[in-house]
Amino acid sequence: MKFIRKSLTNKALLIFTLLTSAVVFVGIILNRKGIMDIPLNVFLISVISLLLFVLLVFIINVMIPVNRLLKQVTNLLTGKNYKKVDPTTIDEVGVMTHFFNEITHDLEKISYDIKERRRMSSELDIAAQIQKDVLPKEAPESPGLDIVAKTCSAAEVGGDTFDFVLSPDGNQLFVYIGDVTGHGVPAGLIMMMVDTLVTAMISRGVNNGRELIANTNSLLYPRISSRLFMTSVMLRWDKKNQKMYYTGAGHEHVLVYRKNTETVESIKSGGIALGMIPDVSKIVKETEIPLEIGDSVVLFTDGITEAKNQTGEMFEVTGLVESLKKHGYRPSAESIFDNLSKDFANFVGEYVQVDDITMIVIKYVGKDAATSKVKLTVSSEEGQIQRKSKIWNWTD
Amino acid sequence: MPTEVKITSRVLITSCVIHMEGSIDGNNLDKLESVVEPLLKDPNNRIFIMDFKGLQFIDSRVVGYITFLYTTLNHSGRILALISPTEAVDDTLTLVGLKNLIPTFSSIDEAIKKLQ
Repeated sequence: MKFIRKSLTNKALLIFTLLTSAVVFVGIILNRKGIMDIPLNVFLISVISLLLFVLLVFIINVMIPVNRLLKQVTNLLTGKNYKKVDPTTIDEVGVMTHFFNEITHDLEKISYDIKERRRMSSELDIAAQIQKDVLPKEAPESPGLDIVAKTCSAAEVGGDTFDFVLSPDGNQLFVYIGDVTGHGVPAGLIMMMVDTLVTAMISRGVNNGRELIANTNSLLYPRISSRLFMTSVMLRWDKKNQKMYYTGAGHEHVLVYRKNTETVESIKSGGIALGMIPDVSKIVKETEIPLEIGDSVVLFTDGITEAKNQTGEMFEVTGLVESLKKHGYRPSAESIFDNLSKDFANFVGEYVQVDDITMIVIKYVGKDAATSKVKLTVSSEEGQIQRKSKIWNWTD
Repeated sequence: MPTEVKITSRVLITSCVIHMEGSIDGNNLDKLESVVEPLLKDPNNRIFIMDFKGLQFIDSRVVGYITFLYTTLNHSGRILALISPTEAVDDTLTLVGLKNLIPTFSSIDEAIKKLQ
């Protein structure tokens, strides 16, 4: 029976066989009874009845199921509401009905996923804008220093940060760079927490890097997962005495270009990353970086040193040191920055940016030199396709 | 280029050793997590020794995981130790400050002897 139910052709063959058998059977009976002539009306009635029977079977088994399915397919194609069709047979029409149900189910799922993605993308855009608004658009003018700072996030929301915060009395300028584990929304949220904490503490009178880092850590540690942390270097520029200090929190080296010797000093920032342990006060310390006029300080995140080229080589700190050795003599922070960027871009070539990248160049020009406003750039890569194809650059 | 790592583990009486060869980053960190997780669940493993001799590179996600491991073990009175990190890995751990927290030894025997 299943053999017949599974195929319209088999059903048709069965009906044909039954009808033929019936006709042959009637013929045999008539022949045995010696009835040679059949009245025309009897003949016509018999034929019409047979045809009606065939038509009825065709209507029930083919036309009704196909029309039911066709109605819903038409609704789907014309954008109207459609509904699932219950398959009543397991023949070809039943298979098509089942196929229609599966396709529409998948379509609904895909449509839902697309809507969800659009919603999330829109929320990410908002989060990215909030983050851009938090990052500094301009920094306080700092007599004695020429500063350029740029950041580029790998995703809509990044985990790198930098800021320039003036103490309430205007005498101390705090410059810091930070890098949260990973990138994306979780890193961005932690980055904003730290920014807020640092700014709040400076405004409340914390006036040295060690206390700033230790206090920030003690507030941050209980609020984040133990898998997440933020590395940072906090510079403090004493405007009055023209002295610079640094406090490290597990961050990359601080590079110092010495104009007199044309060499680059690579200082381990020391300390321990924020968020790893509850109390870092005994591990972090603030240290002076003696500077002569013409010296430059470079801060960066590991998105630069861990960037790879097409052969899998990493840029590494040595790459940045060599580049700074070549360009540290240049007269302005901007020219140093641009040339470091060129060397970096030449090294990485066509590169998929997989981590956030931030760099700050600070040139000590002396108290009496004229300085222009600090140049800052914040950007993020715009889309997956663009990210994969364009040569690395700071700006969109 | 995808990073590759080979991770094996062995359990000693009250300690376990996790050997790693290759490079680990955020893309293949799950391999390390899947090896460590069952070891973490066994309270008899009091000392966790991570053999870094063959490990060429780790990124910040892996550092985060090591920190998580250290914190988790610390909270339950257990110890995490590292063996002979390569120069690159040692630099990363030093930079981030993890070497202030986690003891490092030159061999597994030395680690077990000193920590038991």
